[in-house]
Amino acid sequence: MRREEILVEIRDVMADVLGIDADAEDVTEATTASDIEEWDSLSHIRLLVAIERKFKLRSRFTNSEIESLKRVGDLVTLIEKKTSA
Amino acid sequence: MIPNMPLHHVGIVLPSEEDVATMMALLGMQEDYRGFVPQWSALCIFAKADKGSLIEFVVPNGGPLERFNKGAGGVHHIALEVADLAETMRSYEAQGMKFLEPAPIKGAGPFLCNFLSPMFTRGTMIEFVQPL
Repeated sequence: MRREEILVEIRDVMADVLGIDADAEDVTEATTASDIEEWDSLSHIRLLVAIERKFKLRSRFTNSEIESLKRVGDLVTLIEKKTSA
Repeated sequence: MIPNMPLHHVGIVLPSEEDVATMMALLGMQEDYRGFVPQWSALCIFAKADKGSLIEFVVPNGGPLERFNKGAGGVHHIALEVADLAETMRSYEAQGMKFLEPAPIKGAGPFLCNFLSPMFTRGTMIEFVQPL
């Protein structure tokens, strides 16, 4: 998948899990948890579990991967890596 | 790992004290004790059932708990009882895990408490409680 396609899917999951408007102008690759009030430590995990299911990832996010995610763009990169493996 | 940790209570987030009163009446429960925990920005009301099982009703006053389950509330955590919370934390931290608070905090009643980061339980909130 291309990065933009991944980002579109991530926005869908964020809208559902976080209950936010996640349009292209609301969520970009530069968006971080501190930009979105609803994105706290618990919803972060729920978001990632939902993303694992959405992308049917064979290998789950590890704790170190979860800790390393700072921006939405980091998440796109990680999904890109996991879906191409 | 700390073996044989009994259940101390189940935590349920509700939007208001009125909701707590309604739920306790529905379940035939009585309030046991309550307290405000500033670290969680929450009023915590403990209720006892006939056979002594504790339920903690958590009423958020700001903070992330207010958005739990999109504001509707619901079952939030289970709390397990330990004899020594600091030792329990050291045991989990030795395995690379983290807690929400760096040290045990005073709970709403006569106990210390802390939560394992949900990162290590894939979203299930686990609290450890040390009675005082």
